[in-house]
Amino acid sequence: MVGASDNSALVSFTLYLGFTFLLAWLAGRKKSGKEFVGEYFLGSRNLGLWAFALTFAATSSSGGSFMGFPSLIYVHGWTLALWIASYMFVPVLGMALLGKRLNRLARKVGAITVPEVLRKRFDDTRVGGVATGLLLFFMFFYLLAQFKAGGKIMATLLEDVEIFQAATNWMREATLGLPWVGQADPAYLVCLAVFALAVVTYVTYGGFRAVVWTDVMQGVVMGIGVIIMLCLALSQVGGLENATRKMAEMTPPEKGKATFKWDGSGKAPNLPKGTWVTAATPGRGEVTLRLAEDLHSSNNGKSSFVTKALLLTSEPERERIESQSLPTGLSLESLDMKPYQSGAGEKGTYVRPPGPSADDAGGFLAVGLALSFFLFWPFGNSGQPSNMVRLMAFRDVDTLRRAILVVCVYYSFLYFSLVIIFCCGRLLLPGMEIDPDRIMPELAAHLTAAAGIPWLAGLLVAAPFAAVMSSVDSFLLLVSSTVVRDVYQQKINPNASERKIKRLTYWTTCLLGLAAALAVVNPPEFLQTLIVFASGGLAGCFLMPMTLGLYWPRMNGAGAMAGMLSGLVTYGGCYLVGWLVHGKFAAYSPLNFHPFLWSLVVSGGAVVAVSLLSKPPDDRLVSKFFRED
Amino acid sequence: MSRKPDVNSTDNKSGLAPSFLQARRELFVILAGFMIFLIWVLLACWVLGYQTENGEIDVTLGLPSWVLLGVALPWLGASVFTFWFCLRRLSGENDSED
Repeated sequence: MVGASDNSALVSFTLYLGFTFLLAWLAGRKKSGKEFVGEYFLGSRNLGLWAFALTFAATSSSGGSFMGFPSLIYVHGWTLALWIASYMFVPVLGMALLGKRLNRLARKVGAITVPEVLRKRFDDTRVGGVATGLLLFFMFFYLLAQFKAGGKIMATLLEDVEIFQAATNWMREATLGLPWVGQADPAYLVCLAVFALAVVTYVTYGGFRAVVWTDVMQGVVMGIGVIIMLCLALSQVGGLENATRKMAEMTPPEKGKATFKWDGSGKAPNLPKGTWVTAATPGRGEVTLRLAEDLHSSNNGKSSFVTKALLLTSEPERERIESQSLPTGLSLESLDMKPYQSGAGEKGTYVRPPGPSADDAGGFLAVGLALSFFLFWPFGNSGQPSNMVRLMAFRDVDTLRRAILVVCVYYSFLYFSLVIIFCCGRLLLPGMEIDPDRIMPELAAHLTAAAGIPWLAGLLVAAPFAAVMSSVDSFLLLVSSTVVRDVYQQKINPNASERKIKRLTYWTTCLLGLAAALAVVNPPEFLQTLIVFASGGLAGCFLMPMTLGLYWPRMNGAGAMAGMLSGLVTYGGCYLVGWLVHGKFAAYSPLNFHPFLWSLVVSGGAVVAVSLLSKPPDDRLVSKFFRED
Repeated sequence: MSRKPDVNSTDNKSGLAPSFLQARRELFVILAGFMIFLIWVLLACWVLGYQTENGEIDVTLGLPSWVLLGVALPWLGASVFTFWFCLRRLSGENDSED
């Protein structure tokens, strides 16, 4: 469907990967001669303003920001402005809440990883052990999900490129009959292989500094992509006011099945997914439909075809469509369409909360859920170990202060602009509900083609790829550092030489990356749910023990363990109940609050209760972390 | 530009380090600010967005009015708060020990 991006996408990717490797190579040169572990995993704790600000911003913005979020804006409209609103507080809460104290404490004890910080803060190896176990457990899912996202995005963006299609054919033949790999989609397999090889190579070679430098470049690519898309989108819809007023006229489409009848005359029908057709039905007069799957006559002799379809219900959308009449001999026999549970037939539903919803009668964002998300984004971000590691690496408080300001401006611009761009996308590209995850590349191709600059689509579509890459490299290094530092150095061989650690680090990073790629060759369908599961679980288990550990002298190791484990039990329990209630891997959200918030409350309560009920911490520890400046 | 840790604070009788006390005060400022903006956003969106009837859509500066007053304006306010906090409240002590 993209089409217009064609070779420009390939050129952009080649240039993009070229720059990534160049930066990794430069980072690798910089690290020679320094203490290996501190440099490889934490960049010698010397991140300056731009490196710290953009690595923090880019790591937090994963593929979801450029694929999942735009698709939600497209489907539910302006209500996503409220859904994402608490990003206004993410910079100050995510960076200043823990930043200064965590950085200071980590420097003081020479800690490199999050479990190591907790272990040394409480002088308790059990705390470090529990933290290591939880981190590896949740990060495993996270890493898999990001590898899958990388492969999928790349496949979406390059599907029209000739060389890519040739590579896909080669892969199909090469993997035919092979166990496990042979069952995978060859296009996805090509992309996964390229993506994994690229990430593993530059992370293994360059370590933390390479990750940070490439994050900076990726952050810039994302920013430039959004600026260009915003300008093009606003000019093509005739201004924001026009876009909002037209959205207010829209009503949600209906989804369902259309039955077509072929009388045998004319050419056998063959209409690809995405085709717009206008047809008359007995009950509803003339309707405009978009096919959500191919309609083709492979089954000879068949005269009736049932296909998934989308029915437009509002004039502003219909007037933008160039639909075709049905081919000779083909007629629409019947429609079995389901209106949205919330917002069906209501003008204004796309510009007002709670927004339309196909499945939920209460709308997309009930007010309880809005409160839940307002708490989720800033606190969820604060509790991510990948962000905590970055907070351990900035140079000084002045860097922290200025970086918060940079991230504040960056996020304000990025997220608010995305809402505007993809609200405009609703007007420019009707009917994307058949595949809303493709709205980003489709809109990029549409905007640049309409502006007469199709080659620019390549740069725009590099933005989501950059977002995924900047997250996956950070997660890979985080898992690798935990294995080397908290498992091997702590439990197996505390006296390992630097040479041995170095070799082990390279091998661990490399093998972890390849194992993750191999594990998602045939990814389970609910992997997107796993991203939410993993990020919420990490924050639910780590945020309260870490925050209270930094700010409450009375807290002890027993309290820290109780906090982490009760967070895990609460969070896991909500998913277990969700599994039983919904019959699938999904969260159960009591009172419409995300399980993360419940785990936060329970975890905090457990830290306080257990700390107060058990022996106070050693005075030596309190003095070390709270009395000495 | 920014506040220095207050070493003469009365809290200091507890023997806690001034930098820790300053960081703790900053924590409370952040949480208080967050609460203010949480209330602002949800209240404004509830009154101007959730409570409106079908077809009643006010548009200001191209945005639905509830977005302008319930999201864009508090976002601007939160950014001002962030700048104020970083430039005036966040202690300027240099934690680097390299």
